[in-house]
Order: sequence, then C-alpha cells, then structure tokens
Amino acid sequence: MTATPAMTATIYVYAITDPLEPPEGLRGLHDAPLARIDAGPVCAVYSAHDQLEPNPEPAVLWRHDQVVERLMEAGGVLPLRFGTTFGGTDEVHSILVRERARFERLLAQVRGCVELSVRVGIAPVSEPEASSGTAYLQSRLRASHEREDAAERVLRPLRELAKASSQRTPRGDGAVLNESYLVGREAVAPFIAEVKALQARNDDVAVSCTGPWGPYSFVDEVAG
Amino acid sequence: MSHDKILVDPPDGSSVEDGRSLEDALTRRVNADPERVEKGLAQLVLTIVELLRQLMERQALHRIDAGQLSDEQIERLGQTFLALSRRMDELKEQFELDDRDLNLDLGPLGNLL
Amino acid sequence: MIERANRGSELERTNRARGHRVSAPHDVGLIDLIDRLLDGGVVLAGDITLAAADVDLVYVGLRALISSVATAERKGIPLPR
Repeated sequence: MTATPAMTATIYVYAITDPLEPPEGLRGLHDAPLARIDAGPVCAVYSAHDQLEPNPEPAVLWRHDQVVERLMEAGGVLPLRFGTTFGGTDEVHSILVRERARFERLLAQVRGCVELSVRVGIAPVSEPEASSGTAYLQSRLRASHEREDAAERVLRPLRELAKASSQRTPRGDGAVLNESYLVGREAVAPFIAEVKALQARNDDVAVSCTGPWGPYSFVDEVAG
Repeated sequence: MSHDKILVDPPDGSSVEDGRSLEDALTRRVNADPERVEKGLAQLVLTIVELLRQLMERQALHRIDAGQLSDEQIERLGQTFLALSRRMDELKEQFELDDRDLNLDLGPLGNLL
Repeated sequence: MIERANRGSELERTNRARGHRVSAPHDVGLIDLIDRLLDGGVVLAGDITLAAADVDLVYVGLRALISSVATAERKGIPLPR
C-alpha cells in the first residue's frame, strides 16, 4: 500500500529494499503504519507523519532497527541512517530511479546476510611515565604491536568466515578493537561458535559479539 | 532490549567498551553554541593537532618497525612526541577539555580519532 | 542468548584483563546500535533532521585526508616527509 503524498507532512524512511511486503502489523516510529515506494526492482519503506522530529533516543533507535530487522526477513534490505525525512514520496521515488543500479548492486551483496559486530578488549598495561624519547616510542610501539597481535589472533580468523569485513576506527586509547562482519544467515551459528572458541584460546583479551544487525556498515560505498 | 543483541559476552570483569558514556555517544556534535564559540574553536583546533600527532606517531612507529631510523633519530622523535604530548595536556587543561572532548563524534563523518 | 562464562577459579586472570572502565554488557548492544544507526546506513540527500551543521563541512576534507593516509599505510606507501 502506498500513502498519498498530498496528505502527509513528513515521511520517515527506514530502508531501501527488494520488492517486498512489510510484515503485517509491523509499525514504525510512534507506531505509524509502514508503506512502500515502488521503483521496479528497488523500493523504499517509510512511514508518514503529521510532524516529526526524529529524536535519537534509545527507544526510537530500537524501533527503527526493529523495522529494518523485520523487513530483512522478507528480502534484501539496505538500512538507512537514522533520521532521514522527506516532504513527500516523489523525491524518494526520483532517488530510487536515479540510483537504481547502485542500489541493485548493494542489495545483491547483502541479500540474505546480517552484520555481526565483534569487540576485542586488550588489557591495559600501566607503564611508568616515559623518561626518554626512546622509552616513550618503545612503549607506544609495544601497545601498537599488542593491537596488531590481537587483531591477527582474533579478527583475522573471523574475516575468513565472513563475506566482508569493515574495521571501525578505534576510539580513545585504542584498547578496544571493533570490527563488523557481513555474514550469511546460515553462517551465523558457526561464526558465533568460532568467536567463543577464539575467546577460549586467547584468554589475555576480552572478546564480545553483538548482532544480528542489518548491514549498516556495508551499504555506504562512499564512506567505505 | 539490548540483551537480545549480545551473542557472546566477554568474561566477567573484562571490558570491551571504549569509555564512551551513552550521553557522549548520543550528543555527538561539536558545541555550536555561539557563547562557547571560543571553546568550540579550541576543541576543533586541538582535535586536528591531536589527529596529526597520532598520524605522525604511527608513521614513526612504522619506520622504527622497518628499521629505518637510527637510535639518535628515535630518541629525537620520541622527545618531540613527548614534548607535544605534554604541551597538549597543558592546552587541554587551559581550555578545560578532556580526551573525550577531543574524540569528536562528527556525525555522518564518524570519529576522527 | 547470553552465555556467561563461569570462570570462578580463573578470577586472577580475569582481574588482569579487567579494564579501568566498568563493564556493562547491556550497554554494548546499545552502543553498537547507536554506532550503526547514526554513523552507518545509506545516506539519502533528504531533509535529514540530524543535518550536518556547517561545522561538519570542515571535517569533510579531514576525513578524505584520513582515508587516503589509512589507504597509503595499508599499501605500505611511504608518506612524504
């Protein structure tokens, strides 16, 4: 079903998808019903609102994500970044038509896959304040090697189990590595088993895994 | 709700969090309040300096790893980075900025540091 | 499904791995959600409510710089002194 653009003030877009039907009873932000914009092989799923200021509060974020997840059960989905609104459906339709080839390519890559996020926490080693330039750089070198070593031991085996991987810039002092993996649904269970096995084999680091997520990290070619 | 997403937990007591609070993660913008423009500008400038410092340090570490630097060069470079690091601490204190302020969440552009 | 490791006898080792940050596993899920929804996903040129403020434009060039440096590092290309 599609809403009439003239009757809506704001539409909120959740994802670009294969031609699929949003599951019955699935609601969007503020429990608004979902609708679809059709552009042949690519569609967009949205909800219509009288007025909307998408506030990134946890409950609202979870709802956006829940919509993405339920849609993924029905077909290939390119999740949108949170907060995308338009004045009507025409503009979205134009974008779908214009970018059709790119979206089709991305949909083919992520169809049937989910994203898993893995974190590796490295134990901080408290070192005395460096007394010389050489000592300073040596301690930085040690920390850098520790990170590379942890990535090699834990992240490299996981990359080989995934269709694609995307490392996130380490935040703060770099004591936590974070990498995302695109994994086919059928490969999720063996992947999780491998994460647990890697934790067991590497007890000097802390390993965690969250998911399954929509393929948020694998749909933005520009940011890559 | 969050519990549904955790597939593998780290061992008890271990941390895989990067130190951000939820508030930090959600309020992600450089403070554009005109009354605090000066602090916002300092934040921007120091972030860039910190970014460049990290990039240069990484380059130096690569060169050390590759054995391209003499002991003298290593000591001199190290002293420079140490001095820079100390100066940064002073500036941060002066402008009342901490490490989290300099690890700016830049919206769609992701974290710089 | 959450599986908590039972490592009572290995408390010493986990103490060694204990970071100075408090571990709150339930927040990891929320942090990952925020990372994905606010930093990831397709960006359409709409009336994005979380619109990039003017100040963000300053960082566009920096991000390109970082990407090119990161790529150069990965490929082992030495950067100019």
